[in-house]
Amino acid sequence: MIVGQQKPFEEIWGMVKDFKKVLVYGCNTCVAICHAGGEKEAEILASMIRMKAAQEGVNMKVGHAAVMRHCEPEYFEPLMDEVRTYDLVLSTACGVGVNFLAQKIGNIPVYPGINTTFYGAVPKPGEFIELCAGCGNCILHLTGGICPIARCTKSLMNGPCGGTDRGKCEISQDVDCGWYLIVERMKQLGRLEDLVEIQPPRDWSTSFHGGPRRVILEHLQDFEEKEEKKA
Amino acid sequence: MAKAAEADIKKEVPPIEKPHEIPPNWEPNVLAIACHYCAFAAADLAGVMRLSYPTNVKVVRIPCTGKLDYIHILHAFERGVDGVFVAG
Amino acid sequence: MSNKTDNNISGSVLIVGGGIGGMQAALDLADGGFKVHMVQRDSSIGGIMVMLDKTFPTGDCSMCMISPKMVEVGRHLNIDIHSLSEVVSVKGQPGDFKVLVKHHPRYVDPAKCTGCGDCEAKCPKKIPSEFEQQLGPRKAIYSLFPQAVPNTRAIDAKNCIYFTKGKCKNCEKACKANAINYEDKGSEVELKVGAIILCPGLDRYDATVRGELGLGRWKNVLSSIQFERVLSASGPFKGEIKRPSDGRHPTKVAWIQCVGSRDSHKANPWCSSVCCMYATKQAIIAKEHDSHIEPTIFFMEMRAYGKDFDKYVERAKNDYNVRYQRAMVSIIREDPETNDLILRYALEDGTLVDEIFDLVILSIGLEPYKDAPEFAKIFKIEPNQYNFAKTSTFQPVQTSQKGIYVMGAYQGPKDIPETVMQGSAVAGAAMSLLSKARGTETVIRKLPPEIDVLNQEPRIGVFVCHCGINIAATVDVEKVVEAVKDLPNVVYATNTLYACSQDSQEMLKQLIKEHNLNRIVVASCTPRTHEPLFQETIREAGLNKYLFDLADIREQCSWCHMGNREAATKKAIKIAKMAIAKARLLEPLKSETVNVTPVAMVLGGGIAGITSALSLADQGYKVHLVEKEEELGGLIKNLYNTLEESNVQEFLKTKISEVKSHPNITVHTGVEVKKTDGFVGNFNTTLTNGVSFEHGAIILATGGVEYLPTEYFYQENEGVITQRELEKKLADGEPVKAGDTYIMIQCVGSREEPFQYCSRICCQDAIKNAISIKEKNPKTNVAILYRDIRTYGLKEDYYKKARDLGVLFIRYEVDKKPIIEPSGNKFIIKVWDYLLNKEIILSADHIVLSTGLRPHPSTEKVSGMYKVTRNQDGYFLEAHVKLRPVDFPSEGIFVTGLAHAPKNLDETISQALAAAGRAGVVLSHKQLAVSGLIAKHRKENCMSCLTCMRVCPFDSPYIAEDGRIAHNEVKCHGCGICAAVCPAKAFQVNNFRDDQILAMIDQATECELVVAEK
Repeated sequence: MIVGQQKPFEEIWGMVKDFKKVLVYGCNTCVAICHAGGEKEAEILASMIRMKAAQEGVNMKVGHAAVMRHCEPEYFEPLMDEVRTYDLVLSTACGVGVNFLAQKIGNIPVYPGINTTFYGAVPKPGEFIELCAGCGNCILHLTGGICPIARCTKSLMNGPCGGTDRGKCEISQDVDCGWYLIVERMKQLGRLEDLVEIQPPRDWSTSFHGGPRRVILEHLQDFEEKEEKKA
Repeated sequence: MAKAAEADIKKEVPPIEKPHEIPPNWEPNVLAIACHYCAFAAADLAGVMRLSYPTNVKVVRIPCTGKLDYIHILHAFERGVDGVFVAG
Repeated sequence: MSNKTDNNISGSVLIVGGGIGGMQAALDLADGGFKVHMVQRDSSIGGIMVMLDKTFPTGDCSMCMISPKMVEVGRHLNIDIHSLSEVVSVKGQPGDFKVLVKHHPRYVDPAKCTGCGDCEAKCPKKIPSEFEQQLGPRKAIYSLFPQAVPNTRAIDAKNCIYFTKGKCKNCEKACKANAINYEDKGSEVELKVGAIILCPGLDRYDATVRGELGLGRWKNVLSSIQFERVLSASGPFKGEIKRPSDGRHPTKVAWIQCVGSRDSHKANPWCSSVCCMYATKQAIIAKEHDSHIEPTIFFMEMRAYGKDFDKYVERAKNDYNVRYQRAMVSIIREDPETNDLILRYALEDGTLVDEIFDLVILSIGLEPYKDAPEFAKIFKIEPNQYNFAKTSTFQPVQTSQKGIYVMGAYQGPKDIPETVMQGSAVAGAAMSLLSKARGTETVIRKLPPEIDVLNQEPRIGVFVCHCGINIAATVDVEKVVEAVKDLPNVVYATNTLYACSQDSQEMLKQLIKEHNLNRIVVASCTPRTHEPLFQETIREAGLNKYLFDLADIREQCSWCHMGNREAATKKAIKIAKMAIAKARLLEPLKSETVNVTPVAMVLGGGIAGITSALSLADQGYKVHLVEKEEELGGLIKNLYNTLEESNVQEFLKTKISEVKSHPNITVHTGVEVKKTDGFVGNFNTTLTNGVSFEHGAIILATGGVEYLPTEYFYQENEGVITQRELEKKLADGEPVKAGDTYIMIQCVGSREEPFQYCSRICCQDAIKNAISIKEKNPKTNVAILYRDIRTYGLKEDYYKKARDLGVLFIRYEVDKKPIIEPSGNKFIIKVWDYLLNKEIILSADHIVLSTGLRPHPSTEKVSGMYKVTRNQDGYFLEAHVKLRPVDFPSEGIFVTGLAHAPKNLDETISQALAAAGRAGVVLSHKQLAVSGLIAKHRKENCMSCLTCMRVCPFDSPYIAEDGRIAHNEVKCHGCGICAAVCPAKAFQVNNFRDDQILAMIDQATECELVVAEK
């Protein structure tokens, strides 16, 4: 799941203060689950902007809405005509949603209301932890299911650095050393000796370093094209 | 909203209080949001004991303060309330 | 309903006493299909608990907990309260008693009185209030306390001016309902009941007997119950701690323990069981009220033997700086100038000290009512030597008369949860006795079909109540009517003298029909007491009961804004408008019902599980008793005798054979639960042997284990044994040699981090075995090295007996534990003696360790399986430590025995009966109705983020088979936490929906709004 966090309110106010009609636009999937940008948070944020505007003497109308997902056009298209009556859309979707809506909306700016942070798990309510970096070349089968890219601060591939400190990372006592976790896990699996094998330098081209990525499923594309032809 | 067709834009916002001078003889308007089981019962007891307090407090009863939503408080402030007292 | 049973067993039960225990029994019985008559000598039910400010160890407000229960008892269709009444005589036999009850004259007609209190305000006679312990006044026409049930006032003829001097009648003039009747002569009524439950409660020791302590003589000496009233926010000082002599805030406050207890000379020989904890509580609460207070508790022994009590005492010491001084105060003198009090006491080493205090509280003990001997005669039951009702370890709630049960403090001093437990226990026992007559004498209200209003435009009727002059004297009621009558959707508005009176209820029904009203708002008093009454009335008129809202303009308006008519009227209008705004959005709510499988599963075949299973089976339900060992019996297989009884094994054998031969019980031994599913009324269990069954209730009786010591050379030296091993040797007849010395060490594995709790049974075990040794051979030496001897209640007698037999008691402190050195066949023991103030050296032949208890290792797994929580020490955590001692927050699951906390055999049996009583109530229903006030889940809005499931205290959201969140409304209590945390707003609480709350907020803020420009 994508995890996001609402931007500091002052930063948001700086973005919206010169607009007359603002729509706070939430997304009810990932960012709703992390309590950052679903309909509920969009409503709260809209209320806060209205009050700030009143305090600052700025004449501004603020509405709010939310759709199931901002990353698929079918969800937000039915609302588009009305959305286009606003001067600014403050999206509380993740960065994907902001980009995608900006592409579709036309002449209206779409600004981000949240910072998109990582792909995370939810071990308990109110806690979100980063476990995957989306590097495009998964090696979790070699490391006991614990990702050295996401969970080692330096993304090292062949064991910990000198900064490992009794199971913790040198950057903070609150951060586990990813490699410590890997070693413990491999011990538990009885496969510690697998780690002796040296991993070659990594090809980062599958990650963002190879530029923006895209995945094409031709059989689904073909299907859609055929449907279109039929119609 | 789950189904796209059902989604709509909530622009029906309440009229919002603008900043203004404090009028003479001004009294704050306070909204109390009280748990049915404890704070609301306490407000009742205050009455039973004939304890006197100003009249400018209005109580909204909720089943538990766990039910309280941010938006209830924000809404009250947008509506110009001067204080919100949550008790439970 | 009247299915006459052939053998004429009555389906009614008489409960004598209306304290918290009696109330619990009444509710269990009435909810379980029995008619209840509650006879209460006071004018209100409530007993002792209503006088208390707060309760330990949670610090909950006592009145807040008991008041809803009183309202429930007062309103229950199948509970008749006979207040100001006494039982005169009893005839007949179990199942068929005839009881003559005398109703003393009340001089106020309950049928007419609305409880408004106008009469009380006009009564000129003031007398000291019994409820306020003479610290405040009451009138001659009075209710015991503001929340009294019934709240019909009563005239105290002895003090009434009219009755004593022949004129006044102010109350009659003040009463607009014409409820005063000076001619009331009282009445007698004969009741036919199948069982009788005695819970007349307790009296307190008269501490003026101990003149040297100065109660009644020195102004600043108060009794502990007086101090409860001082602490109470609704008490005579409104919760401010003041000295009675000068109103000054005291700094140094002392509590003196054991006043009237543990003293066979001038007082009672028994331990009152509750004073150590209430003094600790009072010290903590006092400190919370006023941080300048320096509390000192003078005590002999700190008897914090209950669940989490030791932790509470530790908190008092460490977080609240409560000073515990081990000493008896011999005399209290007063400084006549300052009214300060000089306490004389001796330190342990004998030094005499005089210390000055500002305020002194005497922790007075409990005793049976003064008329207990007479009371026993009326019911023909046998009292014990102290005039408590006589019971036995094996039948702790059974009196000497079959069909007559006893509970609460009349059975022996005890605290609230144990009383409540026994309340459910006697209910369970009576339900077993009368199982054939269940439902034969209860009433079911007949209701007309509901009018369908679903798509109708709201047509609101508003009724504004004068409440005599309670509201009308402060609020201009006509003005309120005027202000709301033209609001949108309001089609009818009127005012009424008493909205709650019988004629007003009829008028309300009439007007609903006449004007086609489909939403009703009454502006009167608090919904907490009166909402059910009005809901019933509109339901009788065919409206769904949830189409109602009550605007509280009395407690929350007229009563707190007296003399401020204009502002109060304005506020009352606003409160009414808020209620109307909500009423506009009210929708009829359906109360769903679920079927109940009348079968129970009892997990654990120790004595707790055995007792619960037998009780439920006798109540007429099928029971599956599941035990993972091959044999039933649990821990008491190793128990041979208790302080009071010697034939435990025989008792166990009888019980096991009763279980095995009972037609309603299926015993599953050598198996565990593999899979469990479902909810109250509808559980499904599969055992490890593949057997599966459906059932409606679960009792967790998973028991405990004894701590296996690692200290004091246990298992290294065979001269070191545990109390249990010693007990077996003594029972097996192993000779006790003359000249042998036994040293017993208490608190091995208890009362020390990480096991900071008292195991409760060890002091009694040690004393039991010590007595047994001494009786077998007086020429032995027995010494018990202890921290506090905790022989609470009537067990104190045995502490005395052991001392009389020559058993030595030597106290040690946890930081100076005894040191043992093996020396040949013997042991050398070094222990610090606090009386001599030096180390003493003892030699012994046998070392006996009093080992503590632990929850059974399976508790953790079971807690995960049933999603029930455990306390820090691993014992199951009940729903509420005071009032729901055998329930879990999840309905239909109950706890009993050592799985709940360490306890004695008799306490385990009581609690097992209680769990069976509570489970029996669930199983007695063919169907369970789900409240309408629950959270509704809209699956189409939900993205199954699981936040609700993770935060719900009742476990009602769950992951359904489709992998998404679903909501089990049967488990829902309507607290709305799910609605607040749901990021998709997929939950809304019925009648507290966001749109309804926001509509009220809009109204509350309506005219205050200043909009500068549009």
